[in-house]
Amino acid sequence: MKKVLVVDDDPYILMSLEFLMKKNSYQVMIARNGTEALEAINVNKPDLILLDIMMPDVDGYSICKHVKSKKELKNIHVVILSAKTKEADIQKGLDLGASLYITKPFSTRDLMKKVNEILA
Amino acid sequence: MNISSKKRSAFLLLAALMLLLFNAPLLSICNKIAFCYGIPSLYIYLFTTWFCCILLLIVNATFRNYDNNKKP
Amino acid sequence: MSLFFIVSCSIFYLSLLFLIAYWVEKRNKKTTNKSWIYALSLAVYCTGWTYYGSVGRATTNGPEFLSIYLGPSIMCALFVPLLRKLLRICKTQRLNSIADLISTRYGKNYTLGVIVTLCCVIGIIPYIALQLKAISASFHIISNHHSAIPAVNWNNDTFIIAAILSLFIIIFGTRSVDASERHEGLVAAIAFESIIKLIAFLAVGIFATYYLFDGFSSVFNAAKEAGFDQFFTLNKGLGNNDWLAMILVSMLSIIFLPRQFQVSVVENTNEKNIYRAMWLFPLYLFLINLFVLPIAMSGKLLLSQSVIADTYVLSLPLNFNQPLLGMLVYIGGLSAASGMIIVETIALSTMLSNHLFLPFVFSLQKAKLNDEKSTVRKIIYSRRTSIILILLMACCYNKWIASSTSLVNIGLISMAAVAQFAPATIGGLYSKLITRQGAITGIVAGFLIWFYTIIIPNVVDAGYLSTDIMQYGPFNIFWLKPQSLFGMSTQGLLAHSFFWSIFFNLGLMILVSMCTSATRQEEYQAELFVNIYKYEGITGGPGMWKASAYLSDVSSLLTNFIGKTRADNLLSSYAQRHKIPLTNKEADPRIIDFSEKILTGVIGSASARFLISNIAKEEEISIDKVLSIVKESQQVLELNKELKKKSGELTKAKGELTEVNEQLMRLDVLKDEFLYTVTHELRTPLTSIRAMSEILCDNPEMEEEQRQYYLEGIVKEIERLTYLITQVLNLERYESGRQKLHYAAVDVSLLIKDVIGSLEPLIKGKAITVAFSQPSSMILIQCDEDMIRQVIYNLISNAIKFVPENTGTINIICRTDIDEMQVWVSDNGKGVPEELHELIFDKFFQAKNQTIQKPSGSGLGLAICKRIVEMHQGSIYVEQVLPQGAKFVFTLPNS
Repeated sequence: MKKVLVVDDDPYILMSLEFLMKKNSYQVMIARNGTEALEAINVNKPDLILLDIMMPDVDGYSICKHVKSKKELKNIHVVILSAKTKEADIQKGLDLGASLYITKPFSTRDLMKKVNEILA
Repeated sequence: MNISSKKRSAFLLLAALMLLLFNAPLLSICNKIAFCYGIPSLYIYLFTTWFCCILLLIVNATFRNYDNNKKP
Repeated sequence: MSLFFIVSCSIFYLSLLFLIAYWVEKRNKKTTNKSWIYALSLAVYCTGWTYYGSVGRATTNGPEFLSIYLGPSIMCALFVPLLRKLLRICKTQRLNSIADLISTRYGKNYTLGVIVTLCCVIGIIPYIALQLKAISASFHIISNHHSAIPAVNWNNDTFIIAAILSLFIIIFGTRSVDASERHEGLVAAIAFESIIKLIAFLAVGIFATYYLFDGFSSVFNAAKEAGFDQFFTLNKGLGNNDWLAMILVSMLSIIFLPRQFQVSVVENTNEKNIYRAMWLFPLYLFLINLFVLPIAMSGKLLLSQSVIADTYVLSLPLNFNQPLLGMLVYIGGLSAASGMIIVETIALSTMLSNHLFLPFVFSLQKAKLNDEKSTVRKIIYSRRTSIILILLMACCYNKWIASSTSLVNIGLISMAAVAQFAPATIGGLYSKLITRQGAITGIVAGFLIWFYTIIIPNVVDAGYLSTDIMQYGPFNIFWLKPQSLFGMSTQGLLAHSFFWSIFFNLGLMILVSMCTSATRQEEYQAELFVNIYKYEGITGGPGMWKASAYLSDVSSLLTNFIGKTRADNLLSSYAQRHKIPLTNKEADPRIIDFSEKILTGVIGSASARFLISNIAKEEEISIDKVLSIVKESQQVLELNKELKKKSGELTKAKGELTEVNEQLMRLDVLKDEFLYTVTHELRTPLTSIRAMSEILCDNPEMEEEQRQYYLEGIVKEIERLTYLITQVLNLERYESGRQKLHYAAVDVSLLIKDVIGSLEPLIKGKAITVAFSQPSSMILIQCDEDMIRQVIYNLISNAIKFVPENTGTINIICRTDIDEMQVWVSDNGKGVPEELHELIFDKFFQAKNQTIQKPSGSGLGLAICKRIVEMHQGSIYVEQVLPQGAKFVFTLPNS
């Protein structure tokens, strides 16, 4: 069972994503901010992270950077979900090693399809 | 380059002042045999006043700018 | 000292002058800084009379001599109002002497020119003679300094000196026929002489003060002990008004002495030079007079009684075995005297030639004027003859009159003579009412009285007339006694003469002017003189001529006087400048006028007018017409100025537009950012709504409870969305100023309690403490209740968001003083970094700082607060609280 970490500070989005992952039979962990996310990554080593960029403490870019810079974490897939829609922001996310950058609001169906593809 | 009437009247006033400074009522104050550091009072008065007037002329002719539209 | 050495030094010095003059004329004219040269050349005022005579005068009259230098210093302050105007007039009309100036002002009148010239010659010749005598006397003292009274007859060598100087003057003063052209070489030589005489005089002054004595106080002390009280005060000058008269006379002489007019007006190259001259020249006078009294005292104390006081300057170094210093002093004196002779002779010769000889020659030989070479030669010869004649007259004066007359006062006498031109000139510069007859009467009367009250006593002294006239008056008419006219007896000689001459001069001038009327020509000139600044810029304005001269006549007339090439050049360039066709047979009036001005520069205005009137069959147009034409050009000029101003305004407007455009672009960028922030804010609730509705849609099998939870979520997020949109619209409305305030008296405490009540669920949810310190009395403020509620709501809800759960504390304080009411909302949250204190009220703040801080709420709350408070004329700011937290304060004015 693949492990998916969902990181977002908006409770409704978090709730929805958790529901979707569970339904697609992944093992789900949630983090409501950057600190929780880093802890979860280091302890549980998920296979995929659904990552929000803007959070009150540590931002998504830093988390992505952290994941991609560690040898043992390098293989984790990162999918960024962000309300930041500027070309430069998207490019920054991809440059940091994210597999996908999906702008909010997104279609849950598309998202699931893509997550399934990556983890297949 | 018409000079302002301000400048013209400033010089007129200066001339009037000099005429006053170098003539009877004021001058007669110093017109006596009195010495200041060994130099006669009249001599001191005439030359210092004269020098001050020259300074005033320098300031008015060179530095003061009466025309607002001209460069200082 | 050997005669040979002295003569060779003198010749060497004069050759040096030649070289300087020659070198300056040759070199590129643009490179020299002429304002210094101009200022120094004015010091031609300090003649041999200053150089030797001041000391002599100081020996008998104490500091009285200073008045002769204080006067010019005062006049320097009047350079801007007076000299500048003279310069402008003389330049536009190409006038080259004081005689020309006066005769031009009064309708280019011959008679006036002749009168002024004669007065000048009579008044000045003795002065020139005095300089020649000074040179020869100093020569004798230095060559044979042990005999205090020179034995040789001085007159022979004055002839030699006069001859050498006339050579110099002829070479450098009459090179060009155009007298209004500047003699730059000559002026440079004069400026050089000014430096030399200053250095020499200062050297002997320092020698007398610091070598022979131990400084100023020691000289003064010695004189005091010897009982020479005359050095320290003005013994009678102040009482008998001579002091005042000397100041006034010397003031006028700095403008009206022919040599001063020559250097200050004719030789002036740039009007702005006067701004340096007006302080440098007084400074020069100051320096050259500093040591006069010490020298006089040293001479009186240390030299034998037989030495004449006038020669102290030279005798002091010679008697104390300083031959080289003596030589320097001698050269300095030579400078002072020769400089004066040179310039004065040039100025006088121009007048003499232009106003006496040439008109006579032209009227005799009207027919023969068309030979170019002979005309030019005639003018130059006439001027050279004048030079020689003047110096000859000076020599003769020395030989027959001067030797027996007291010479001390000659400088002053000359100055008093030229002061007679002041009323006609200054009056003519500032008033149009003075007529030609008035001017003539004034000058003649003044001059006659001058002659009677100053020259006659001297002539009597010399023994040419019986002393009866002094004692009893002519024909025993006692009230006509030369030194106490009309019984006025208490005055000094000069004050008496100056008062009566100027009194009659001015009085008769005004009286006659009131009884006569001006001719058209005079009216025209009066207009041009008095309002010279008004016609600035109109070159080639209409003259008095109506076109009826042939161009060929005009050009051949010019050719006769200035040569073919120059005449052609001048005419064609003038025509080009003013777009006048030169192909017409008849000359354009402007060409005629221009030619007249050129001729004026060569031969003076009266002769020029005479010659032009010979070839132009003129029909004098009325002054009104001339003036109206002048005014038309004036209007064109003003129109031009107006156009220029307009174009300037357009350029400015364009600049402003560019600026506005840039500002708009900047605003555009800001607007974009704002939009981005807003859409970004909208995306988060939209995301939740979409995700939850899709889940609901795709999972019909969901449990009822969970489904309910999702639906509630959707409703909340939609509320959030709506709230956000309202906020954006509100902000937009406040910023555009469309929002009207509905003022009412509001109890702020009540309002705060109300808001806290509405936030109770949030407070309970986070388990934090909110304390409100209520003021003792009710605070009523005039404001818009709904809007202020919004401010308080935003601040408190913000605080709730940022304080930690359970331990969070929020303190709200409301207080008031005379001017304003304050509300403090402080929390123990993270606080706001110092550098963001201003930024957080910016509606774009979060857009720029999204990566570091997740926005809470709309992100526009603080921007809206700021806007509302500002609409109420209040202020809002944030402060750091210790140990942790932020304090938001907003104030509202009490009234």
